[in-house]
Amino acid sequence: MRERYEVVVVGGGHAGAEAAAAASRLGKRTLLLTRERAAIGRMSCNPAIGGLAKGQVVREIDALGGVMARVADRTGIQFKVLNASRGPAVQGLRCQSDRRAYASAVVDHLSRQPNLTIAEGTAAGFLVRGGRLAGLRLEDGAEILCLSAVVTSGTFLRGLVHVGERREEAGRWGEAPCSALSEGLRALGLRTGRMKTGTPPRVHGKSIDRTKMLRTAGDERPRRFSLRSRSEPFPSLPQVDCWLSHTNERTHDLIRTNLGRSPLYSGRIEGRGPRYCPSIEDKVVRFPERERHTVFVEPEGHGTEWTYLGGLSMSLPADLQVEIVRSLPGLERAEILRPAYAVEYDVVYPEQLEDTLETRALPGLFLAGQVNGTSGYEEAAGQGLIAGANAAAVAEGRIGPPFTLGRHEAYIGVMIDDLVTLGADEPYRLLTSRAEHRLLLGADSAYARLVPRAVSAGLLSEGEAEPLLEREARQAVAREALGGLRVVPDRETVAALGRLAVSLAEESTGAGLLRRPDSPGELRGWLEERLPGPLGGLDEEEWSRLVNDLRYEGFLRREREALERVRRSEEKKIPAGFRYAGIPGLSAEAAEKLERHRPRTLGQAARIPGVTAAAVTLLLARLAIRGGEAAA
Amino acid sequence: MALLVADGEGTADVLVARATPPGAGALSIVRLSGSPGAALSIARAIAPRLPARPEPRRAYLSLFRDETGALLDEGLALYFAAPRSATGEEVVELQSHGAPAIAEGLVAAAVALGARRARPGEFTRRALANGRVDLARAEGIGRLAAAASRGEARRALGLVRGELSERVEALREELLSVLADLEAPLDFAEDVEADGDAGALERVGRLRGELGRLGACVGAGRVDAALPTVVLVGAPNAGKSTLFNALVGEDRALVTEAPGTTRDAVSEVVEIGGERVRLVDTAGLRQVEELVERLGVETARRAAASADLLLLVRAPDASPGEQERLPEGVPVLLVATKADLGAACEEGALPVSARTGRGLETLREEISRRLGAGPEAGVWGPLPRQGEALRRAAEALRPLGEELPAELAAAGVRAALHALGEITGETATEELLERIFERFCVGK
Repeated sequence: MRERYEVVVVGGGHAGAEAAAAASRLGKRTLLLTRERAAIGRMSCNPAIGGLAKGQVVREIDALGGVMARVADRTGIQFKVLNASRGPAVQGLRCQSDRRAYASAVVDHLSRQPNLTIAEGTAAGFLVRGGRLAGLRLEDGAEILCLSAVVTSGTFLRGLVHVGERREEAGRWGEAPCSALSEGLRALGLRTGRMKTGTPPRVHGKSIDRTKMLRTAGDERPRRFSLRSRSEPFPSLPQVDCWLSHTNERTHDLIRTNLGRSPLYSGRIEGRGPRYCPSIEDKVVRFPERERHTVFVEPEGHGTEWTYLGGLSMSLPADLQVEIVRSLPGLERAEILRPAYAVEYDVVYPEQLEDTLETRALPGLFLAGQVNGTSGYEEAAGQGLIAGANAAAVAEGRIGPPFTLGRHEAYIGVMIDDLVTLGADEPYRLLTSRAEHRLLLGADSAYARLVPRAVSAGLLSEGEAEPLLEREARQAVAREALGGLRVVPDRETVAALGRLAVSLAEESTGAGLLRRPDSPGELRGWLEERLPGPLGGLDEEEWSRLVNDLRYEGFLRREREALERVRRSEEKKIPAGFRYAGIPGLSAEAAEKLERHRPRTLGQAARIPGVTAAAVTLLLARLAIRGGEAAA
Repeated sequence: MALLVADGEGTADVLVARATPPGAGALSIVRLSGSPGAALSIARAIAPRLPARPEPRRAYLSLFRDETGALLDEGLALYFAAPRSATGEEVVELQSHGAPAIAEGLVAAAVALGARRARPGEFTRRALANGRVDLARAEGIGRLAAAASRGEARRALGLVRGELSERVEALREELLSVLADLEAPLDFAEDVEADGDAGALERVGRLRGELGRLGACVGAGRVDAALPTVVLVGAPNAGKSTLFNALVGEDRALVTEAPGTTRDAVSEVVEIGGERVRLVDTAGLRQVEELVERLGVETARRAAASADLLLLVRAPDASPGEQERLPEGVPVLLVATKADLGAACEEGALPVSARTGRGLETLREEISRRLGAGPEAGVWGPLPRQGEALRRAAEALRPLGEELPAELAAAGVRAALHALGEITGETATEELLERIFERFCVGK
């Protein structure tokens, strides 16, 4: 029997979950095809969500009607704002998650989703009709017909797990890889490459001596990722502590003398690993002057003793791992429950994708997540959401415009633009420094930036959007009221403010007082008495955003102006069928790169490595000439 | 970026043009540039002694013939293989005797054989497109070709050789390193000890100064309207016009014995110390009653206020108490004229005699020294567009103080890097990450 769906999502990880949720939210009859139902929402590596730049992405996902933020809020066991001492644009919320609770909350969320069916099975290839995707072929020979599909295969394409000299074909510890699907993608003409990532050892919590480690607690007043789940109690799980240990000379000696047993150094691993997430072997070799490296000892949840050793990923043999782990303070008697391992896997080079994440090789086929050369749950989830929304649009018959986000709109936009424009030759991670307009992409502005987009795309209902937009309106009202509140230095006012250690030499406004970098928190009460309407009822996050927006006003304005200046040429469209070959003066190298990456805008063209400023100028001139003709 | 235009019609692959200036000279060079094999085959049809596989950069003596085989000249043919040539393509240079007719004959022969006449700047544009030169160098080449003074040519050559690019590159390097220090703790809060930024911001101050100085050196490639201007001011009959004429070397300004003869500001572009300088003579800066002269005085004030240097001209016989009203903020060089009359020279003044020529050379040197912006001047000169970018870069760093949060400081440094990137045409993100990963051990 051949089943028929509108959209099929292959894989139930963080990308797959968002893709399936988005497509079904948009009303498409959607199938989530997974090898193992129990593996849906599984955190392959660290039991944590968010972080710098990633926390912003989680918020963006929430603003776009996604799953990750709400599940993280429900299953977090420690919440912490990173970079809390810095400005709002570079702060990032991160939480430790209860690994099991997280996965089951994802399943729970998806099983309530109308239009979504979850089934077990392994995709092995694609059915093509008339140059378009027509369905999927499964390993057992069954066929599923569909109008579009999103493949989120993670590290499973020809996955190879390394622990020292031991190698095993697996996409994750103990889980068989998918090799047929990898062949299926290549058969479509897609170019694939090999990447590597790693995960640290898990140890038994009872074997740890915490008296020798440094305790790190979560924030006293934890913040949530999702403002959509504000009616739910938060935090809903009991909060826990994490611990810090560190490597030492003995650890480093053990690693140095045994480097030959690391497949990373013996040449057995060919895939490129992530620079920002180096294995401990890498750290010791590349930074010989460092006497110690921090190790983060993180519980994996309630009702389990599994403990994660962040910072200690490696691919050394298991026996050596015991010695290495036990050289750390507090871990002298640690029992390893699962050794650290490295995994190599196939990726599809992402410059072969449109910015909807649809492959150019086969219309109707989308790719999202680690298969596109990224790493990180949040990066995967963000791609999944975009791919799912666009897969739904394809199933709809491509009537509406594609759903894409610009670099100035969202970190998700920055990431996808980087991927499809620059490609990836190592696992890609989002960093705030990748965004040229970082100041405009803070987590606190995610709803303002994206909720209207989500509503018009159908990802959020009007009802869901209303409270979020109301919040935005409250900000505007409060800002205006503060700007209009005259504060005159009469005796009474000077005295009252003096008691709050606020000096007042000349007339100011409420906004003016708050703008001062040293204005005390107590000022809020004083201002609220004067403006009970606009300021009353603001929650803590709303208040701090109000103050920050006032303080950063000048910088934000400058950033917006800079953005407007570049946007015009940045967004100049390059027609889909534009021919680069034969443009006089354009070097063969640049033409070849442009032909391969097929940028959609002049800005993207300029970011492609190997495309010089001169080449961009030639393009601009060529486009200007074509501008006279009716553009396609 | 607007200096480039696209090829219009025609896709002829081989460009040909005379590379030496028009007019007769001792020798002339005709240059062919095109894809490998294409330029050479046309060149070999003209210069048959050029072998099929010539050794790059070797001069081959050959007869030059046109497309019909008629003899044009005998000369040297030099072959440059791609990409190691001026344009990054295959290049052949034909050196002939200097008669214009021969050069034109060679170009016409090449065109008959399938080449296309290059339009102005087209060779450079191909060099740019092939990555042989960056934007700054390309602009230098354009300037070199159009240089009107020795100084301009010297600085344009500096651009061509990449001196500006090197300076800007060095500044970018430093800014990138500052940025890495600022950014690493922002993106890797858990791994990087936050010690970087204080020192980073100090370095920003120094870099801002350096950018400002470079930007201030604008002047080299100035268009006429923006040439450094030296204005002669002084009381009527102090000898301004005589001195002006002596410096210009011709009787340009009207000279009479009656005070206030010069009604208008008279200006002339002269070469002083290898630089082109606009020299302006003015009506005497005296409160005058006569309406006729008033207009001239107004003109003088305006000219003086916008000058780069004032030559305050005083005659030894000037009546004491005569007040010159000088604009503020313009450097002044005091010149004592009529030194041949034997009067004692005022202290600090430079004695000159236009009549005997005494002191004129010293004056020229002094003008040149005062106009130069220190040791930077004369090495290379940023063109207006480049000066603009340098100034914007300095401006972007301006608000960066010790107390500024790192992400805002980083935004300023990024803006500065962006501005500098317009000179060399590059982007910074990937370089920045390289640097962070090189220097900081980051990652859990």
